[in-house]
Amino acid sequence: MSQLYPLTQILIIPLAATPVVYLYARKMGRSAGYVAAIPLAYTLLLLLTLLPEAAKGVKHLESYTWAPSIGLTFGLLADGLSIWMMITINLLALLMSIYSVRYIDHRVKELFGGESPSTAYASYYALYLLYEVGMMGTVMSTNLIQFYLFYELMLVPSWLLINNYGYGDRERVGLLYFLWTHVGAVILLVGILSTYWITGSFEFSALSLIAAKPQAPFIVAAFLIGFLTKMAVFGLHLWLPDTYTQAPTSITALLSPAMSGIAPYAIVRFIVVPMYPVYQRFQPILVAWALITLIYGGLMSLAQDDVKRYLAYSSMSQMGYILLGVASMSTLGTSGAIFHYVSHGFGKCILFAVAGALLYRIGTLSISRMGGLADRMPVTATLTLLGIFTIAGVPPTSGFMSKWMIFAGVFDGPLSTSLMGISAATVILLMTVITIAYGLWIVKRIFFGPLAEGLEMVEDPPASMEAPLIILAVIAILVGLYPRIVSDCLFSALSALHV
Amino acid sequence: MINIPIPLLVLLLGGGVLPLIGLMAERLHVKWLREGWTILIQALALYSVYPLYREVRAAEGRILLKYLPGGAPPLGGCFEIDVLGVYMAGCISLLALLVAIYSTRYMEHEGRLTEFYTLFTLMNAGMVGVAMAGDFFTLFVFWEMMCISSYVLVSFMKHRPGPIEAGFKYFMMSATGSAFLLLSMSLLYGMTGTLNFAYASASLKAVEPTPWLLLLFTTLLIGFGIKSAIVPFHTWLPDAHPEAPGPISAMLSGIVIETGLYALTRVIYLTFPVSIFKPTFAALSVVTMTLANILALLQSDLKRMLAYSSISQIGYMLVGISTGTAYGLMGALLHIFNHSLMKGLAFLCAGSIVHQLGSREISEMRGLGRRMPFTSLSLSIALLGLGGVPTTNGFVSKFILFSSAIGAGMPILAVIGVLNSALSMAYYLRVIITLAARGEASAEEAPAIMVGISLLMALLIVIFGVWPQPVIRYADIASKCLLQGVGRYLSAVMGP
Amino acid sequence: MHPFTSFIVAVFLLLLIGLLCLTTRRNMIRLLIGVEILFNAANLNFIALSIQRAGFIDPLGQMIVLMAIVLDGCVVAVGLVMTLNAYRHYGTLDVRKLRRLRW
Repeated sequence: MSQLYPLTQILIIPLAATPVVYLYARKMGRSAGYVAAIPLAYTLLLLLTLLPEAAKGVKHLESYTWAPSIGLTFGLLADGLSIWMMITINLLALLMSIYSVRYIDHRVKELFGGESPSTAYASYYALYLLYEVGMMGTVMSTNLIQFYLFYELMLVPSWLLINNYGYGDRERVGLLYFLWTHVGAVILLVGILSTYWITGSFEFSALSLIAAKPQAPFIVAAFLIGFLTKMAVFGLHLWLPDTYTQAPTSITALLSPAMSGIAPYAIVRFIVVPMYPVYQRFQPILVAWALITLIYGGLMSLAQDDVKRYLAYSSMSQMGYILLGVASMSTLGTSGAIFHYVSHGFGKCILFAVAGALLYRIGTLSISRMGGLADRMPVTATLTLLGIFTIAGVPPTSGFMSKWMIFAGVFDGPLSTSLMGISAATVILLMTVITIAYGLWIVKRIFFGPLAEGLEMVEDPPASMEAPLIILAVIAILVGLYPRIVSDCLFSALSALHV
Repeated sequence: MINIPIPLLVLLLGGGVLPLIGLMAERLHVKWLREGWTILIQALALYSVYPLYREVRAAEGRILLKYLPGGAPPLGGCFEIDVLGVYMAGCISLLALLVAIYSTRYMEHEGRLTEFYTLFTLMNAGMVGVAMAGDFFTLFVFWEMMCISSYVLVSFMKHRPGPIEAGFKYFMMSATGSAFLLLSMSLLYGMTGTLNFAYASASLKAVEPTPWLLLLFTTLLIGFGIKSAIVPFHTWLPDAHPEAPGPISAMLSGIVIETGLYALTRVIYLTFPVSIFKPTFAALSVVTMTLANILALLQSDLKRMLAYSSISQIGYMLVGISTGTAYGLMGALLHIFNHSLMKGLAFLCAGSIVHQLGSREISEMRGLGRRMPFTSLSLSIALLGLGGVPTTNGFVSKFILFSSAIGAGMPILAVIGVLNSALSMAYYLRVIITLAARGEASAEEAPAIMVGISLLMALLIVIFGVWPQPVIRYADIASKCLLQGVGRYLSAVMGP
Repeated sequence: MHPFTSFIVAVFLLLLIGLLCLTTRRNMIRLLIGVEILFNAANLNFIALSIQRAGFIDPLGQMIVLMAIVLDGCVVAVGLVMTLNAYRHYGTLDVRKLRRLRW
């Protein structure tokens, strides 16, 4: 396969499809979502062919020269650490593009009334593909400037999508989202530029040279601020609730599980692996921060009435788990963090998509105005339950395996001996109970009990919105039953961490 | 044979003949004659930059000397052309060609077009002359040529009070600047007995700072600083650039103020050691960026906002210049080229919008994205580029600039720079949001030529953002000319 | 005392007068005169410095002053046209009345 440049294809083909999809949508309107799915399905197949190699610990690298005068190369990398990130992003993007067909049709009609312009569909799908390219490029990058390039590239289309198709005062929310993450990103840029002057290179592989330098803590701090802003940990999360609530649901379903999670991946790639000794000094802060985020997100989500807002805070709390896994500094915990990214991706995507389906059928997201919908929307109810199980970590979903790995990492790693470790473990176990409790409580309020007024005629959403979610739920269970397809890849990449 | 570099000769002759051509066009009622002539002249100038580059590369020490009639240096005037001068001439001619094509449609309903195109050509000739001058007096002559043309061009729409007022303000500030420049020339002359850069450099570069030297530095800074709108001297710019006709705004913001910065850099680097001006420039860059960005946030007028954004971009360029390293200078030169494309495009699009909509208020542009899709798209790309979003060329040069600040041991400057850059996104995004919003604005898409030029420039911005190598290569050579080529520069004039 | 010291003092005085004129006067014509004074300060400086070496008058300085005066004339011509146009629009020569544009 290597002579076919699969990674280059993964980047180029959706990009090249963008104008095609745009023009198609100008002519044909909403069905462009199926056309947009074709290149994504092809790239997913390409990724799956790379999976067996990655599981064995083989790195797949393609590199080109870009601007040699300023030390830039353009490289694409797939290894055990990144392959599942890419598969998750690609899978979610593929399924959400099919889901978007009916959903965005509904949204555009809401926005523009009866005669909805075909340009609205066209720009939606064009931006959607660009957004996907940005995320994939970020994960595949081999050098820091290239990483930053794609990191910002995914920001612009997603901002425009929120700005053009969101709910509420979407312009203010979009600006909030853009500026917060952009400021985070430029601080990251300062860190990146500093590394260049220490190592003389922007390559990831050169990062390990920094570890012994006196500037290393500052650089690590700059990186962390950049990534934690994207991850929306407590204190840097102010953009998150509004953004996730007001963004079009099909985009939130990518923002929350796919995009935010790139930050922990980058922490592992940039900091944990190459700069382990420096990172150790930040561990207590990160553990504390992760716990605060976890608790704050969990408690805030209890208080919400809006389904999407509830999901937004729940995402924040799950990011706390992932950060805790990263902060555990053990192979198991770090692998668990990436694994949890994958299962959180499946679960949260289902849940946000369900929220979109509720909006599509009922027209409101207020929990207090719902109830007893299980009879009217049986498939949706089942999907919601599976989504909640995946997130909360109930066997046999993949969420169980990933959370188990995070806990095992926390108990097993350097944390287990300290007082902090013990308290952290207690807190997360308690929080897991709370997670499942509030999850089930929401399900009860929406789907059980007496049927709320005015909902007698509601039924399940159309098949094109349900089918992608069913596929996701099945995959989540399959991965939960056979977790080695994920964990092998991660262990092979992170085994060097084992202490 | 007149011993003048070819692009300059083309522009001077072309500009000189233009009044006759204009007369002919009016008498014989030939449409498009002066427009065609102007475009031809600009295209020839751009085309002839390349042979000049070849000539420079072939010359000994890669510096081409052309003496003016009247004797050799140190007394006579001369052109001293290195790759840096050619680079600047290339930037100027490229933007001038694009703007010339654009203005054929933009200006077609105005009167006094012969004057317009003549002044336009002479302004470009002045800039190219500044880029290639080898002694201070030649520089000053071309400098005044550029200034005087631009005064008149700013207040070209003399039937409205706005341009006249802005033009007067611009004139007063800029003429004061020119007077200071003349004063600094006289000081330089008094200290070294010559105005040739090479001779002056040879006798000043190693001298301990004296009060006279400090006075020279200050007068130079005021003289060039007023033209390049470095912050304490920027007050004319937000008036003059918006009030000028669209294509002229694009020229002024895109390249004229950068030419001022180029001249400042050239003179300062040749005559002073880096340690003298480094802290001053760093402080000026911080003030320039920050103040301009804050003021830009408060604007409700699109062109005015773009004018403030130009000032802040000058601040970013100063970051690179203050480092005193080849890398930082490369960033600054790259940013000059990239900014000429981005700000040129932004002002051209703003010009199209003003042309079609008749208003410059951002709040009245709601919904314009649907009415003028191509112009709005180009404007959005230009604005994202100015904000430094990756895949536009603005990102490449900004990252080199901030990186150079870290490399020169000024991480604080880099942090202030990136935060400013992030802050500036707020006002760029506001425009894009307004364009994308649904609203009542009613206007039709601009004429095909104007749209075509806008789209072409937007394409160039993206191409040079994804593949910056060609420009970086020339900027790299040019920056090394300025920093490491001083010795060659001296020996080219004074003999080994 | 060096023979050109008195000239240098005169240059500084002219510079001072020019700047004062630019900062305190309101009349446009006077502002133009202020700029003129600044230019002439610079010109005088050239002339003064061209005789600094005893027994030798440098032609370069004198030549440049001649050319500078020409350029100066062009600048002032443009300035006067500008003033004329401003007078047509505003009916006054007072710069404080030119207030249509904010900072």
